[in-house]
Amino acid sequence: MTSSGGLRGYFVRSENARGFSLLAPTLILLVLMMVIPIIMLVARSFWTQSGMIETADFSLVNYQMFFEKKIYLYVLGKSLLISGSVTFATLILAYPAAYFVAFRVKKNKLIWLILITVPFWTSYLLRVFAWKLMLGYNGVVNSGLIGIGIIDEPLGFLLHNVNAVVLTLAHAWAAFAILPIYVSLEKIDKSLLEAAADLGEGPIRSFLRVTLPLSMPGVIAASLLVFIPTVGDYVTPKLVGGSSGIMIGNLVTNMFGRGNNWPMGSAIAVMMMISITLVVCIYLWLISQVKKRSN
Amino acid sequence: MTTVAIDIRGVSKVYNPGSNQAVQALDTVSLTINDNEFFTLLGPSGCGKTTLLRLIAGFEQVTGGEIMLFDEEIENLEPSQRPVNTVFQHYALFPHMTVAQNVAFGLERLKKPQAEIDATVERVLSLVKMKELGDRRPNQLSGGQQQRVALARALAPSPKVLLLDEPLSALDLKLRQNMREELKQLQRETGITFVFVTHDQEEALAMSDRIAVMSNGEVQQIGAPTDIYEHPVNRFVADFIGDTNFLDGEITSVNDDLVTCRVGSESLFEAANSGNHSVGDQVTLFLRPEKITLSAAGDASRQGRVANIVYLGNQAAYTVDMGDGIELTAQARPREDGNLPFATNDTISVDYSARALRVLAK
Repeated sequence: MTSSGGLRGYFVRSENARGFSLLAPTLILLVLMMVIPIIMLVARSFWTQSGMIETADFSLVNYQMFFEKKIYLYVLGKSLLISGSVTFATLILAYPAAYFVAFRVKKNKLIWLILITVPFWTSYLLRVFAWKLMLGYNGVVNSGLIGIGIIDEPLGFLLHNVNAVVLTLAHAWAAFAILPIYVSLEKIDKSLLEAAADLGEGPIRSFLRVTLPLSMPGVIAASLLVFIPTVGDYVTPKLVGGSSGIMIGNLVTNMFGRGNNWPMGSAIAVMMMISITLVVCIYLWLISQVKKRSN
Repeated sequence: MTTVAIDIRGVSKVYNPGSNQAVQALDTVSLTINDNEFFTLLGPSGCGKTTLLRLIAGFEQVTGGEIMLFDEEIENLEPSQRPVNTVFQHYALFPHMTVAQNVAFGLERLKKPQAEIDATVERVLSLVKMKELGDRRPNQLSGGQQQRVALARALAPSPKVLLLDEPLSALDLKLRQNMREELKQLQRETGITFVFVTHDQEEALAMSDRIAVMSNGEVQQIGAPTDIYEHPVNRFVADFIGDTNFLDGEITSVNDDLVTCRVGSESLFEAANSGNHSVGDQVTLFLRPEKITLSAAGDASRQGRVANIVYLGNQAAYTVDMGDGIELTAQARPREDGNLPFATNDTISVDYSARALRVLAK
């Protein structure tokens, strides 16, 4: 009797206990699905594999290999560059769409927002295949161009290269960029734009001096949302990237698959996480510097 | 010789024309605003005063009529091309810029040397007593300070006309009263034409050179504050500006100076003859409370019973039942010991000059 009352009383009295019990479902899930796997991944990256035998002794041999064989650093650098291009392309494509919905659409904004997310109701894999059909040797673009007589031979450079990867990823992640930018544009008080016009600025300068700076939080959020997950993507490069469009994620999957070297795959994955974290930190630091300068 | 700053000629504005949500915000409004004038557009919300201001600023397009600014047609000019600046109701300060950057916003496009811009910013900020706060962000300022920055920003490009859209409505009472005087003084110092929109009649009376009283998209009356207050042209204006007693009745006799009017079943009131009245006309008489003198019951021709008292500190508003279904509201000051001179149900004398009682056309 008293003990259950005491437990109950403890929860009523303690702010922390109540806080933790509210957090518990998320916390348990995160620990099980995120923290433990990452610890296991980091631990395994220090193991070694020879043939079929995995040895659980501490060793830096995987990291040594990572820095010695140029291919790893090269592919990692290229992946960061590709993701950077994807992020840039996505922002360029997403901003006008977000701007349109925020400022030009007067009625039924919700319908527009739902329409923007419609492509995401189909599987990611299907969307990548769709681009394969679009850009392929006998694909929509080539047969279209031949049909209207612009080219005689199908263009070979559309598919199986870096450009195809950038294009496919930019399309795939568009909604993740449109929505945060839309939110930050929507929050801008329309009277600020009237004030800018009233003070003599035309539409372009008003945009550059008022709308763009005020939407930067959305742009920054969008760039992180697109950049971070695309670095490790392996489906798109595998399907549309060919040999030149290979990314770091493909190396990791190879190590966990055919290569059958899980410790090496873990080491590559850890290096990938570290470099993404570094890039993001430098990016955010640069932004804070620019902000300070403008004051 | 006064120059006309803004000439509004038969301007109409319909929102959503042609649809079932069409709203006539302005109906053939004509008025002129003189250069170097403090002009107020006064009216209840939805009367069209803000619409008129936005038409002058260029944020809305007229449906009919034309607006001339210093004899120039401005219909085809973008807001950015019009030599007018606006102080917005909620200030619309740029949150990502400092106070000084906000004030410099309208100057930078003029391609002036930075030293000149800085000098102008400093001059305008000291004009509104904000010189020390140039490095602050808008969100670090109080409402009154934001108000001053908004004023400074609009004044910095030296507009020919300053448009003010209910700029004091978000401030508390004391601040609002201080800003009234400052605005008026600022207008005199700068010599810029101010067009001030408000729904606060006290504000309008205190600051304006002339007032346009608006209702339902039409101008009811234009005139100096004393004109509007003392000689309202209709019941709406008399009612909207200040407190008023209205008496509905019928004219029973007319002579040169005075008309006599029967109110209720048998009470006769004499009022100033404003011309064009004849026996039998149905009219409304109006009498400002402060024109009535209340005193202890004596020889005065009219007496009444105190029906209600509203204590206001420096004075009290008395509702006096005059019999015959007639009630008059009047004011009395508290006595020196702080007590009110009359109590509820006291019988008191009610005096006023017949000239203070005016006839409004019905």
